[in-house]
Amino acid sequence: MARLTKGLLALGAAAALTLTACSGGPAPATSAPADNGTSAPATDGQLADTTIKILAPSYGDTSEADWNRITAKFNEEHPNVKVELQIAGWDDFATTVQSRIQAQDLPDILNDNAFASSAEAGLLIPMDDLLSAETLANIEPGLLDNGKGADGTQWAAPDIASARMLVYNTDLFEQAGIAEAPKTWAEMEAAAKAISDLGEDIYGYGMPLGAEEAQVESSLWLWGAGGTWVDGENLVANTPAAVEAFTQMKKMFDQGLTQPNLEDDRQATTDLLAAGKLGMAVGHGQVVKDASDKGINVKLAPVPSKDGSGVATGVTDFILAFDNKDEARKAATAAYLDLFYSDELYEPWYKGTALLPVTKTSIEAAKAGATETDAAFLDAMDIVKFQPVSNPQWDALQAALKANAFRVGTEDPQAVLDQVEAQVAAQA
Amino acid sequence: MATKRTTPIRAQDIPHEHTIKGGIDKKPNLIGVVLGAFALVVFFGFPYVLMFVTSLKTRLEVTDIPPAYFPSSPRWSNYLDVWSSEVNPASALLSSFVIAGGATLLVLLIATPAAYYIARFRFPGRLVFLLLVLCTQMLQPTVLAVGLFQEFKGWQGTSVWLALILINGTFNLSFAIWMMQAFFASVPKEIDEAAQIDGLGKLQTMFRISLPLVWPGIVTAIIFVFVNSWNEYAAALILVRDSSLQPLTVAMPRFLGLYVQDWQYLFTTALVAVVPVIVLFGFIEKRLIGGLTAGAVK
Amino acid sequence: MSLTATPQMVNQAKKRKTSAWGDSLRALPWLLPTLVLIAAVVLYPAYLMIRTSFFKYNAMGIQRSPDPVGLENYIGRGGALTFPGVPIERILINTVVWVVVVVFVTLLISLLIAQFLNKPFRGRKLLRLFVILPWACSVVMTTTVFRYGLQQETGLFNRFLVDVGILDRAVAWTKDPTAAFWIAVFVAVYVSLPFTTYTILAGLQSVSKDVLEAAHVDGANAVQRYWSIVLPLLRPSIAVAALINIINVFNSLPILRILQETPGYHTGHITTTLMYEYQTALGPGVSSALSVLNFLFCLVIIAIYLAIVQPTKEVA
Repeated sequence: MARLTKGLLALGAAAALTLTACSGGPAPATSAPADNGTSAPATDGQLADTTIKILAPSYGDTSEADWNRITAKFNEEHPNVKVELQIAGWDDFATTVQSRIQAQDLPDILNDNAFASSAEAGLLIPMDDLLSAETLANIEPGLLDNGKGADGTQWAAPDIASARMLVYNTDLFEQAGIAEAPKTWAEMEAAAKAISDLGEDIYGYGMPLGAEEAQVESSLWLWGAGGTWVDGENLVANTPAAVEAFTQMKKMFDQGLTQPNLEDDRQATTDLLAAGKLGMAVGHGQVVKDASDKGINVKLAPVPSKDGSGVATGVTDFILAFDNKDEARKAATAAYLDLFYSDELYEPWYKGTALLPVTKTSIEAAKAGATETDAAFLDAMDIVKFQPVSNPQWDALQAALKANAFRVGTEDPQAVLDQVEAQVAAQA
Repeated sequence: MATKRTTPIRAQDIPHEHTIKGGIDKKPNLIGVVLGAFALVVFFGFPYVLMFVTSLKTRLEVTDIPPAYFPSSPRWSNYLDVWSSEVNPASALLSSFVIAGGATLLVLLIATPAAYYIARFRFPGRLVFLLLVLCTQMLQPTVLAVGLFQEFKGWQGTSVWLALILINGTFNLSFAIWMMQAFFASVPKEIDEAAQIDGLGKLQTMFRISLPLVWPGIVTAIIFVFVNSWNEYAAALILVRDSSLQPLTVAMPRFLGLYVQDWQYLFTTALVAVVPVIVLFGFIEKRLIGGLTAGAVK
Repeated sequence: MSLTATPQMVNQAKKRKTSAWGDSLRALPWLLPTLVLIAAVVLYPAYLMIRTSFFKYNAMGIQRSPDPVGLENYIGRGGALTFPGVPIERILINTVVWVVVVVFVTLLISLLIAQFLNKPFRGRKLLRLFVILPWACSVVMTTTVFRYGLQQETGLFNRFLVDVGILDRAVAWTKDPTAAFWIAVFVAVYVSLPFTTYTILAGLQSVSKDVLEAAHVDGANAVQRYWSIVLPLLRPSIAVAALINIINVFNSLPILRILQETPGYHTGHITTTLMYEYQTALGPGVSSALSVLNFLFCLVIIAIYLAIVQPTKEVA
């Protein structure tokens, strides 16, 4: 039902992504998508009898059908390859992945949001060994780079992308007499204050530091302070820039400019925004859509930073291929993945996720549909930053941020970040 | 509650008629009963009222601030739409039934003789056995998930149901054995002895004489094992790959996707799933009453 | 006690001299299926749990060193008991409070409800089905609806409490570890009630009306009858119900996990939920270590219970 509008939104942002790196690359194979999909694998449909296993999360309520469509097409060409698909809910996806890795029942294809530790442990097949040159060339380079390990190997390929920006309620802004979206922290504070003053149950800024989004929110503030988690080979939590960022977050909370519970997840702030009780929040397409569906007027802007240059964050999920030391499975996996990224099949697949595409042709196709509201995405795209997913330490840092970031409301920023650092160090 | 205090006092006030008629609590205080029943209905019903109300809302209404007590117009269509959703509640219901039913049957088959023997005979190792069984209860599938996964990872297709029946059966054995042996033990042994003097073997004695007398205990065990297996999540989550074979506990969370959360469908399914279980209990429950009369034979 | 000794004397008087092994062997066919099932299903995973606890893993479940790391996962720098920021003493206390309060309150309320439902009145069958609702609807779903209803902004329970004047303004129940803990206690009692009530109800069926009648004629009032006749007869089923409840409540993961929305290692955990937290954040090594400790902890609690209540004595 909501699929269509969601798709539209994705399109806008998708168009934006193209601008990031190389715009104007010629789109191959738009005219003959079927060819592109089937001729790529090594030995023209001569795959040995085997079974490949796919493990994927449920992005939305069509995920299974979306995968099955690809499998059906794949089996037309290769009826002798059995494809075993497991779709798991998001909530316990990590548990499912963990138990399969630990039991060494590695899925040939895993759709997940992290790859660094599997790559470090040597469990993966590099994507260059699997995907045909055309397929690789058709993935947006800026996004493809996100799947490279520290050693430069292409350990994972992005399957979808999403962008997060500042979503703000224009009605509340008008009521509070603010003309345009804030750019600097100071402007943001002032805007949040003016909006909070509008009413007892109206809040300036939604800061979800719950287990779901703490790492995204803290990263944005850190980047806003001009810092980064990366320090050479290592990730460091308690840098001066991070302390500065957390101090600013605490300042917002202490002045009552945020929602009352910092341990909220994204959904809670989305609900507030959609109810017209929140001035600003960082959000993705679905947030905007939920708000507009309830008749709330929202606009997008870069997330304010200390100096006003603005930040935004991009997130990509990945396709990983585990090495089961079996040539037949490897060949079948390669053929399957090439088919996956073919325009004919990738297009409906990514639309099912309600997120943004990663292949040039899909982005190209999506460009045409960019709407007026989404223009804001375009402007923000040259400031998009990615979280350091290629660093194996990111898992630990991310977990520690999720466990501690919300405490900044009641505790000293330095102490919170030291705690994060201590928890990361304890796992080293 | 109220009844418990008032009734006996009344009975004592007019002792003769009541004792002669052979009733102690035969006529509970009507007001007390009504109040008690009302309290129970409210207490055990209120979360499900919320579930019901929410199941009739649209996806957007579910997150309204402030929440509405009732949907603007009840979406009865949710109860139709949910069947064609990707989560496919029908097959999930079937899976849950097969797994829970199978586990219950397995436990009854295995636990009954063990419980009977434990209750009737003393032998070295008896206590050790009881404690060993108890230890399995302390090791929940949650903790053992990875090991269970390794053990049963090859059991795919419908044989994954068999794996889950074995797992659920094992982790519910201890309650069944402990519970049923307590009930067997409460049946006077003279009855068994008489039967054995009449030439019945141990097995026959158990089936023909003791079993009918401990129906309430068995019913309790059945309900317990069934519901526990019905609720099992951890093992099913990692073992069942084919989504059409997933039981309800694993299938339902898929309504809550990463970006789109269909609470209304989740609650719709949850309520639909209650119906067959309640109907089943309705039937079994008669046995609980049946036990009442059987006990009176004594 | 003397009564229980009789059948053996009568039945097996001649076999009294046979060896203890003989008695055990005779029991074997009756117990074998149970033993086989336990050995087949539990033994290997239990072994694996213990083994895992001595190796280092990362959060993805990838083993990080080929050699065992001793007690590193238990008391090392990032060990289960010593991980930075984990209020472990508080969590241990929580666990005991959780088990004792939930089991005890459940038992008390169940005794009341069972007594009530045992009275003959029209519609009690229907009422009994009502009582089973929290169970039929699955623990996870029941807990989920509580969490949903208790949300600060979107929760109807919160709105109701404000509308009837019990609260001044909506409270974020599930985002305060302590408040959420006590709500979880309530929900745990709530979902344990059906089982315990039914168990006691089943036990009540074995209470002979004749005996109560006789006591009544002898002038015992309701409380006396309950205390001296009904309760002792209920003791075996209560003892077993409590025993199973203790174990189940101790191991209960979903209720606290769903109702505690505070992330990380807060003061509202019990050891079982901490184990889950470790599993997702730190991987199987540390969480297995805590599982082993958790099992031992549960064993201690059960040992104490068995020593005090002696449920096996009842039937000996």
